[in-house]
Amino acid sequence: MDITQTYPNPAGHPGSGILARLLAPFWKEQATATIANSSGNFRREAHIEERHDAVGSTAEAPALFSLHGIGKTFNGGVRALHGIDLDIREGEIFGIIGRSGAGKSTLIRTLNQLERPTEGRVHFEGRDLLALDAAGLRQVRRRIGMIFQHFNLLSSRTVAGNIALPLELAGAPGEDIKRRVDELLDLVGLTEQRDRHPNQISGGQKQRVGIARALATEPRVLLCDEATSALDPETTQSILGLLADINQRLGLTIVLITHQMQVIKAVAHRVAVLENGHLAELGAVADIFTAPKQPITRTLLQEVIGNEIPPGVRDRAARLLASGEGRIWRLGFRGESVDRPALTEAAERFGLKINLLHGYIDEIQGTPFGSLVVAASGTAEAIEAAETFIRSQEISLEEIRL
Amino acid sequence: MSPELLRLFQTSLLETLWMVGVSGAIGTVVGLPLGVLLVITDHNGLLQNRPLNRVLGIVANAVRSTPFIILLVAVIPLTRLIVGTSIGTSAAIVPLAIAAIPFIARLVETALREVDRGLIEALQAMGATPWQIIRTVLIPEALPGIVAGLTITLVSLIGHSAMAGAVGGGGLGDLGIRYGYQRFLPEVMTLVVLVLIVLVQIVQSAGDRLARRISHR
Ligand SMILES: Nc1ncnc2c1ncn2[C@@H]1O[C@H](COP(=O)(O)OP(=O)(O)O)[C@@H](O)[C@H]1O
Ligand SMILES: [Mg+2]
Repeated sequence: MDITQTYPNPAGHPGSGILARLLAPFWKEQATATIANSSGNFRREAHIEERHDAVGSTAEAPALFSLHGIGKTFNGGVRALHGIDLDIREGEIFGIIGRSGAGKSTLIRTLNQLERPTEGRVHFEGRDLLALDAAGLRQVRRRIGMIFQHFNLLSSRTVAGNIALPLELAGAPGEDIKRRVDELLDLVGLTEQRDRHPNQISGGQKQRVGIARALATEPRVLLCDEATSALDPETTQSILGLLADINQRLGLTIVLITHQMQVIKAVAHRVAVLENGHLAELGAVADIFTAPKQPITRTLLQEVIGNEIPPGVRDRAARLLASGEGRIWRLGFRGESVDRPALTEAAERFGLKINLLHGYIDEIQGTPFGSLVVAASGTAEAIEAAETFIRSQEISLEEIRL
Repeated sequence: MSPELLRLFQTSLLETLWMVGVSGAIGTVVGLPLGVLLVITDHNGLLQNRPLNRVLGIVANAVRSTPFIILLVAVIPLTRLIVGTSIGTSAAIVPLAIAAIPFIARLVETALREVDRGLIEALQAMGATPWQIIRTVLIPEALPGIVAGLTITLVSLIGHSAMAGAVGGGGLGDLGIRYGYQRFLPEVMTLVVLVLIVLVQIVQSAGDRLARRISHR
């Protein structure tokens, strides 16, 4: 089953909301401007057209970033990254997760060259970022927005002044700046706070200012370095909601790094798992959640789903196994297979006794998924046959040995 | 106190204000960019340049470690070259400004180093040039600290100007020495000291208030 088919389209559609209407004129203007000074292969207008056609498939979306063999050794010998290969596609929310010190920040910072990799290549819109001179890099950076864990707002400027900053740097005319700042304040819901200084607003509001500021120059992508890690859970949800909304409505690509699986689960379409500077695992979030392959991924997942069988359950399972023939299965359901009575059917058809040990069901991006741990007892042949049957029902089955 | 003495007092006060004001202004105009240079040329700075940083640091330290009374005498040839004379209020401005420049540069440097590195990175991520970063982040963010530094400088210039006065520069220090000490008029000496105290008080509280007003931390 191709799980991406059942996903809501991350690229989104232009939308008919007030936001889309507000942003429409600027969007168009920007497109022309981009073409006017574009040196070649990238045309924003063309890109917008593609987006309209691309509804429903992220798999075929072209890569916005391509990383090839990225390695980073800091002065002093710390090797933070080893041979990272990955593509970040247009319109997706790409998550990068890992423990503290795994190299997440270093990796995301190679995307706008705040950190220069010591090995490998980074391509953005088909251009080699490492080959650019300082002026070329500055030009490209205006198309890559970034937000930070500690917001990094200027205390000397008001909310509006902070949002205006990138436009001032780009040399936009005063009237355009004013209009654009008003739009952005509306977008992030801070119109009333426009004249306050950052020390007079809450953490969540500060991050909203950060987002508005990062979007000011109409970037193609938004990089988020632990953007919600300094926020309480409720504020985190509201910021994530805003990011998902921006992704949907504007088709903006978002790269976010986090150490929290909840963040990935809430908004990401695909996720890369980093461990000690290595890319441990990469895939669609639903795949990673339902069928994690690496131990590190399982560990990180425990934060949101108890993948580990509780000790009491384990004891019960051991007793069941000891009393006769049988196996412990971990079954992974996803999408429509959640609704199939496959287990009951298997039990009836092959004469098995099924004991439920542990389970949960949840939803990612509107796709239900779940996991069940069961003890199946019966003859070896019946069990074998049942396994084949269950697998044919688009349910992943893994035998657990105690 | 005689009207004549009172007039003399008035003149001296103005001379002091003039010396402090002009040397403070020159010190700021030269010291501020120097402080910025000290920060941006340092290791991992915006425009790293270790040799330049070294030289600037050594010169600043050398001037700062020279006692003002020695500096006053040592720069006499230079003063003659610039002002044409080594005596008088204008002549005193030269050593005062020379002393103020590295003093301000170091205080500005300290204030700039307090600026969060994250802010500089945020600007780099926006595609800002080093000059834009200096103009829109470094200086505005460090401004409360810079104002506090300039206040300290003005206060110490008031003290130094009295010293310069004693060797022929005019101003309140000169008045105090000539009338209060040499002609033994203790009430003049007392008044000079009182006026200096009030002056320092005014400068300090004005500086504090301004720094507080522009700070949004
Ligand atoms: N500027 C630096 N100099 C030296 N080592 C660094 C530097 N930045 C990060 N590191 C090291 O690189 C590794 C990865 O760091 P980082 O990318 O910040 O991890 P994460 O964001 O996943 O917590 C860590 O071991 C960290 O100590
Ligand atoms: Mg980090």
